[in-house]
Amino acid sequence: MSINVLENGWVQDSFELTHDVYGVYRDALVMDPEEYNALTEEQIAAMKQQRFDNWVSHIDESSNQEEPV
Amino acid sequence: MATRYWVGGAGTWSSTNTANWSASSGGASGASVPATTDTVIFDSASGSANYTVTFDGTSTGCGPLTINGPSSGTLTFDGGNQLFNVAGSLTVAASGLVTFTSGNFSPIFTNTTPATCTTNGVTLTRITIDCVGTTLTLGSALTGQVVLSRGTFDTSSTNNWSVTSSSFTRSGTQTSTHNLNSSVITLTGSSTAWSFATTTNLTMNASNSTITLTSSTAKTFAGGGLTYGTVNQGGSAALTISGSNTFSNIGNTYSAAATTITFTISTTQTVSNFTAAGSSGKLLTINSSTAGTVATLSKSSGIVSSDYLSIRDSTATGGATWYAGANSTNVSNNSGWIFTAPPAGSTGNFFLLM
Repeated sequence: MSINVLENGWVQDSFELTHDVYGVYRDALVMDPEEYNALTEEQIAAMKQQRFDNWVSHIDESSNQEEPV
Repeated sequence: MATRYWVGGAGTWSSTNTANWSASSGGASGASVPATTDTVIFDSASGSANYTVTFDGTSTGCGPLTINGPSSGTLTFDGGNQLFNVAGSLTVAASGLVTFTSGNFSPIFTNTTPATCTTNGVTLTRITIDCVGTTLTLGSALTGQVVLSRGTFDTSSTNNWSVTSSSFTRSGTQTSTHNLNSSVITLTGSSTAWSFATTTNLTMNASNSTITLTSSTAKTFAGGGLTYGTVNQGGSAALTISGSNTFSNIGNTYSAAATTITFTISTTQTVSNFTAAGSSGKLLTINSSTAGTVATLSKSSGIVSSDYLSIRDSTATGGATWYAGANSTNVSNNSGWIFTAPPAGSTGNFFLLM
C-alpha cells in the first residue's frame, strides 16, 4: 500500500492482503530504517505473508475455542 | 522524565528490582525502576540470548515502551496475567524476536497525550484504553481483546488497520469513543463478543467498519441501538443481535454449513442492505429469540433479494420489498417476506454462498 517514515524515524510499510472468507487484512511492518533497509524485497514479502498467514491461523484456532469474554 | 533501558537479560520487572535497569543502552545497572513518566526501551543490548522478563504485578507501569529483540535469541514477556499501565505509546519490533506468553500481557493505556499502539503481529492478551481526554491510535493491526474505559480508541482513518479480538467490551460509563473507520474487525469469541448494550457517554463511529463474528460457539452482538457498518455472521454457531440498531448491511460470510442469525424479540434492525443468505444444503436460519414473538427488519426502499433462508418470527418492513427467495422456508409467524425470487429484471442485493 505505502511506505511512510514516522515521526520517530521508523519505517511503516503498510500492506493489504485478502482472504476469501475472512476478508481484507490491513497491517504494516514498522521497523528501524537500518533494519528495514537491510532486508531484501523477498524477505519483506515473506514477512508480510507470514503476518497474514498468522492472522488466518489465529482466527481459525480462536473461533473453534470457547473463549471467556 | 527519564529513559530507562533494560539490561542483564532475564529478570523481574517489579517495583523494587533495580538490577535490570540502566540509564543508557547496555550501561551499568542500578538505575531506578521506571515511573509512569519514564520512557522504557528494550533493545539489542538488553540481553545477549534468549531471555524472559517476568512481571510480578507490583510495578506501576511506565511511559512510552519500545520493545526490540535481543542481539540473538528471543525476548519473552511473562506477565502472569498482570495488568500493566503504559502511559504512552507501545511499539513492539517487527523482528519476530519478541513474544508474550499466552495470557500474559495486558497493557492499560493511560496516556494523557495522543499515543500509538504498534504490535507488529505480536498477539496481546488484552488492551484497555483508559486515556482520559485523548486518543490511542493503532500503528499496525492489532490482535487482542479490546476493553474501552475512557478516551478514544482509533484504528486509524488513514490506514484502517485490522483488529482481531475475542471481544470488544466496555468498562464503566465514562466518556469514551470508538473510531473504527473502515477497519475489518474480526471477533472470534463466544458469549457477548460485542458488548455495548450500555451506551451512556459512549460515541461509536463504526458506520464504515466491517465486524464479523466467527466463533463456533454461540455469540452475541449487543449493539446498544447504535449505528454500524456491516455486521456478518461468520461462524457455525448462532449469532444473536440485540438492541435496535442501524446497519449498512447484515451479512453471512459463513459458507461451510448451516448457521443462524437470531434477533432479540421486539427489536427493530434498520438496514440499508441485507445480503445474508444461505446456500443449497446450508440454510441460514433467521429467527427471533423467543418462539412466537417477532423481531423486525426494516429497510426504507428498494429490494432485498435473498435465498436459502429458514425464517421464523420475522417481520420485514420499512418500505422495501423483501424477497426471501424460492428456496427459502416460511416456518411460522412471519410477515412482509415474499417467498419467491424477485421478478426478472428487478434489482436487489443478493449474494448466494456456494
